[in-house]
Amino acid sequence: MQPHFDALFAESVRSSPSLSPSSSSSSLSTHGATQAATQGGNYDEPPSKIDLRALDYVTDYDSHLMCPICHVPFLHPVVLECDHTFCNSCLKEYREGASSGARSRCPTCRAVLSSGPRKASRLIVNMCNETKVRCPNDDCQEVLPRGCVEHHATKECPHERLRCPDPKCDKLVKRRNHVPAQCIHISHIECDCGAVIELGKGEWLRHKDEDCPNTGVKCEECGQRISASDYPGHICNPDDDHSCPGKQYGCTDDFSPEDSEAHLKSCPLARLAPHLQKQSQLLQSLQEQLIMVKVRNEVLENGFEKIHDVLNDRVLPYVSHSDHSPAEASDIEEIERDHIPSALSQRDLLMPAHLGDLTPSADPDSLSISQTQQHLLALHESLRGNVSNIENNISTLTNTISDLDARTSMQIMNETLRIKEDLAHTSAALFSTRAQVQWLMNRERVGQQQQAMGIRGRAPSAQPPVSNQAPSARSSVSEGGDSSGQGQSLEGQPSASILGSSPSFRPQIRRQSGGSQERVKL
Amino acid sequence: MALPKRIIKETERLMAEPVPGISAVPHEDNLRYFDVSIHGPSQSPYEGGIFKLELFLPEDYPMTPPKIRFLTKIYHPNIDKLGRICLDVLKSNWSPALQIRTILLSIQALLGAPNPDDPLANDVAQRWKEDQEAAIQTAREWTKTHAMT
Ligand SMILES: [Zn+2]
Ligand SMILES: [Zn+2]
Ligand SMILES: [Zn+2]
Ligand SMILES: [Zn+2]
Ligand SMILES: [Zn+2]
Ligand SMILES: [Zn+2]
Ligand SMILES: [Zn+2]
Repeated sequence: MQPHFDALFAESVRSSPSLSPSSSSSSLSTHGATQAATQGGNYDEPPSKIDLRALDYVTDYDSHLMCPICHVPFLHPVVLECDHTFCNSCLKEYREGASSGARSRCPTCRAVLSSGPRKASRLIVNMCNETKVRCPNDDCQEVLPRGCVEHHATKECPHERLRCPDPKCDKLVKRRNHVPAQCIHISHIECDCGAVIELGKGEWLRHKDEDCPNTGVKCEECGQRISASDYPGHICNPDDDHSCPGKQYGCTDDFSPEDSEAHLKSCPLARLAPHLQKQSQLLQSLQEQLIMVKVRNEVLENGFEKIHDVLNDRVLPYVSHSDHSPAEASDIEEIERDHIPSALSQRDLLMPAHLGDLTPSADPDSLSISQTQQHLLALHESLRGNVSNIENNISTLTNTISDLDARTSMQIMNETLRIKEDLAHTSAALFSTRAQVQWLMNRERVGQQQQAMGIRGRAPSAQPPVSNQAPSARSSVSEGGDSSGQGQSLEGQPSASILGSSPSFRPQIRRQSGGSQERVKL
Repeated sequence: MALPKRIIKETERLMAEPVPGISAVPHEDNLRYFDVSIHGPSQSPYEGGIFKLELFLPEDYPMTPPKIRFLTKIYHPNIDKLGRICLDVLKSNWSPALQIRTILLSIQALLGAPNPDDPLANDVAQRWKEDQEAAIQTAREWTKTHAMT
């Protein structure tokens, strides 16, 4: 057994302190100073009015300063022959309880001791007394070195409760309200917030309703009474306010809201709550990670499905069309050579039996999930490579197609141009023909008029009016309204449309056939 | 329920930095009472087993040792039928400088190194000395039947 003792003791010496709120009392705290100088250790330990071990040690301290027996920084440390240090009172308690054999041994290393303990060095004492603690008095938030806390808490703390100076009064009064040789309880009442209020003036109710930071104000939302100091950060949730933080971990104590502070100081579950909280947070974060892993898996699966679809919809059609398009045959053959085998192998890889089994299951076996995930990732990568190859080929195909397209459209353009030119020639020819026809017709008409005038015996001096009268004559003919005049005017239209180069005129003319003939001619 | 600072601090540390292969969880209604489970050390006949123990911190702990016993049946020369453990640090060799975690470590070590010369279960120790092979085989079987569920 002996060999592993050393390990055990090493472990016990190494044990580090950790922070915790204070406990109200300690079974180790029963030590007086009266028998301090015992066993040769000439140690003068002054009596302590407060339990320094039960204090709330607010900062971390060196684990070497922790007494291996009471687990707080040494109080009045003593050193044994073997160089191990203990609180004077812890060592004393140990020796009083131990059998005579153990009494002369060191609790840590079991060395047999021939002489009594000696005082530890001033350095150790000072370092231990430097550790920061919170004032043990209710409502006092003061943090100060442990060496000063006793003086503060029992001599100057405004929140310390003193006995009422009146021996007949059994009430307590906070130091800040303490008046020497006078009982304030007869005429005043001391609120637990520390305020002293004169009785009989309605001040007390006013204080409780408006001023008191402890009872505070009524929330308009939830009707709950919140201390004025807490009111700005108040959240309307009646359950949250006065419950013990250890409640969810099993604290079943019932206490009124006023006692909650006292309860928090005494409830061990409330102190363990932060640790339990940390654990549950850890658990939660692990669960979240698991969910994220699952989501990633799903994403990967979707990716596979898409890739599969792409392979099916885009690559296979190309392959099956290759026979019908001789122009692109060479490209298609390349695709065929490059990608059909891989497409097949991908389809084999796509739905391996274990993949379908693993991903949807809620089994939180993170190891297998991460393995699967890696496997999936690898698959995903290789598929992505293949798909990008395919996409490259598709894009070269697209290029070829657009080339062809360009060529075809060029041809069409050329054709169209030629046709347009021909058309222009034709219409030019038509125009000249029409002009000739008109000229000829005009000549004929003039000739007929001259003949008519010649028949009437008129002088040929009427030549100028001829040009003026010719249209009017024409119009009079058309105004005759018979079908022949209509036909004549219609015959004149093509020339008009060609001159105005506006074919859209035609229906208008037709509609206005009655009155607008002149306009057409103008 | 006035709990000494030391017990609170030990419990906090057991929760915050658990010893590998050992877990100790205080009861909700009695923070001096712990449910303990110890994994059988590898290379021992108890390998693969998870042994349940109960641990109680008496009123004058740490001046007196914690009371601890096996709840899972175990075939071991230093552990009797009732689960009581013959370990000097739990009795005469207790020191207030020891802690719950060190005691549980030493119990785990005892599983790895049975000591038939300081027996509690006399018949087991006798068998262990006479036919160690067979005794170890029995311990292995007991582990399989009682500590692996
Ligand atoms: Zn101590
Ligand atoms: Zn020592
Ligand atoms: Zn104070
Ligand atoms: Zn009074
Ligand atoms: Zn008040
Ligand atoms: Zn509210
Ligand atoms: Zn509580």
